[in-house]
Amino acid sequence: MEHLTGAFSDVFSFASLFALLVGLIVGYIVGVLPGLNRVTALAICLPFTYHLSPLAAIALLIGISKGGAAGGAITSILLNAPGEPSSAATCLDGYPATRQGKAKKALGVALYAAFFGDLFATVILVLSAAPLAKVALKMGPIEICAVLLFSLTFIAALSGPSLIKGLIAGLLGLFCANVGLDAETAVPRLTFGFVDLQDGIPLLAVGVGVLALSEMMLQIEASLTAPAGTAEADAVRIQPQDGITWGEFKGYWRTLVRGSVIGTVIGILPGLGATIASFLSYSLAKKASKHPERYGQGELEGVAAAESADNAVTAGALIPLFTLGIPGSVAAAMLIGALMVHGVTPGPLMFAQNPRLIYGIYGTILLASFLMLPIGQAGLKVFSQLTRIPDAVLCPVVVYLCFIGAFMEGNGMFAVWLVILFGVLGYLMKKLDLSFVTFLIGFILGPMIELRLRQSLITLQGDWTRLFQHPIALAFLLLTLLSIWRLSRAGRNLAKV
Amino acid sequence: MKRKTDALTGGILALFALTMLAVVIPAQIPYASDPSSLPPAFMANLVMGIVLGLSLLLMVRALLFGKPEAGPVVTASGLRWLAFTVVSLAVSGLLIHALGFLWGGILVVGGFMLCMGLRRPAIVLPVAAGTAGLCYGVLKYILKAL
Repeated sequence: MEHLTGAFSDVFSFASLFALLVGLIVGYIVGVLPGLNRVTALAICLPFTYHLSPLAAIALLIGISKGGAAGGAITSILLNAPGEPSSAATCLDGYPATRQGKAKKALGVALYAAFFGDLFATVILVLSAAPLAKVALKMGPIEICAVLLFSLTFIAALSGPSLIKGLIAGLLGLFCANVGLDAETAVPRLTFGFVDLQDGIPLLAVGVGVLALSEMMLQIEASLTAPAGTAEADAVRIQPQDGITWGEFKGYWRTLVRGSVIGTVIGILPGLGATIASFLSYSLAKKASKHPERYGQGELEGVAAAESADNAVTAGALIPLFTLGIPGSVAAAMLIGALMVHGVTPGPLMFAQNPRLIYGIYGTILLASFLMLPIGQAGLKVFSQLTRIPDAVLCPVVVYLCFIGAFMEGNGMFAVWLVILFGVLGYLMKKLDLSFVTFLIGFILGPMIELRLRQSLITLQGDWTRLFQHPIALAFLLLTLLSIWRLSRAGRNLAKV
Repeated sequence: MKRKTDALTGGILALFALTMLAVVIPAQIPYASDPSSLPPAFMANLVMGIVLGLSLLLMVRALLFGKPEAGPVVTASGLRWLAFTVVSLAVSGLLIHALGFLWGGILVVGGFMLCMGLRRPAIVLPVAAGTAGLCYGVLKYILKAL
């Protein structure tokens, strides 16, 4: 009980509330701007969390994640340009609705569907994480090693059309995680004589470099190579018109529940992502509809389907993070960084070691869901004007923020040079279709995988038949092989199309 | 799967993995003779060994099953943009290292804006100075990180 009351006061402290509000607004802004995405914003804001309390740090990042998911719908509906990749499905009916003069209704549906999906997944998270964590605590190193390998393989397989490239990217991330002092013997590994590398490569350098800095360089290149005369879309003014009514909205309840379930489940499975969730929800809503011919013509139920699933993924991805310490998404991976900086190791032991923080995080996530509504309503006209900011202003500012963030984390220029190195690496990876998402997740899971693999090998003592005494581990290893086989075949079939 | 691009990618990665296995890992990870634990280089060698295998597989599959591509894999414009990325970021790092976050930042933001074709001083100067000034102020006086 004292943890609950303590968490309540933490959630409503000035620092946490302020961080949450800032995060939601920043998230909305980033979600609206097609040139930026919430992953970039998370990477850039991560160093600023070092000076905050653990809960305020999480509040900031949760706010960005949720605001970004909801804000991406605005440009999808007004300009047919998704602010986030996961909002692409919203364009299908959102923009036609705008062309029919129903922009305000569409934006209202998107906002309320986002709220519904987000709240639904958050409730599932709160109810299921603790029981699942208890199950996870019963798993030994061999089982956890098998789960981690399955997760990494699954993510690699779904990260792009080539399974081999996805696996290579994940392994390169694992390799980079080897840098630093060996946990058992304290021998320096791959430090090249740099004392700054003895603690390993900072997550921030990898995250900011690969996610944000490389993306900005690609945006700059795209901007400079765009054909002459490419007009920038003007922000659409939202004309006075009727918004969505409660009677109209409640008619979508089946679609909302379906979308929220899809988003939550896909959020739990690592590597799938919100884009798949929103398109899957849209497709199923269309199939289940009595008037499927209306989809694609401004049917607001399509907007509800896409947005509820998109926003449910954010909270769903936190379930494997809290129960197993496995990030279900890149956004969840950034949260790991923030938690670890504050000395909190995500995983099933969090519930025993940091119950007050866990309750505080639940409270923050729920509060963020409710605050999304007034911020979304109030900021609609303002956010839609942000699309006028040219890339030539946005990209240089973000590049500079990357350097600032790196310097703050490492307290010196060494971290800035690391960010530049990983920025170039991220640029090359994107050009060569090597998944930077898998690379980053491989980097984050690297220490955990190495520890569990070592423990597993010691436990097995060279006798592989002992693996049969661990049926859960065996099941996950078989699932790993099965997913490699099935998904490599799916990739081959896709390549033939 | 693109024949030339993926074959080249596989070849470069295989070469990288071989270099790591043969030269870098033995040089950078000393052997610790503790029979009760795995060698420190175990994970690095395992990972790079698998990368080597996968890279060779990628190369072979690209050559056998890859779709032929028209034109060269490595283009002059591709190399130009890679050079632009490396040089612009390196110069940015040097400017910040030499001049600090305030003046270096103004030059970095302003420089990128000019590179992107924005030539109006009424926009470039306030945005560059404002961004660098605001960030510098927050870092130095509020967060006390400088």
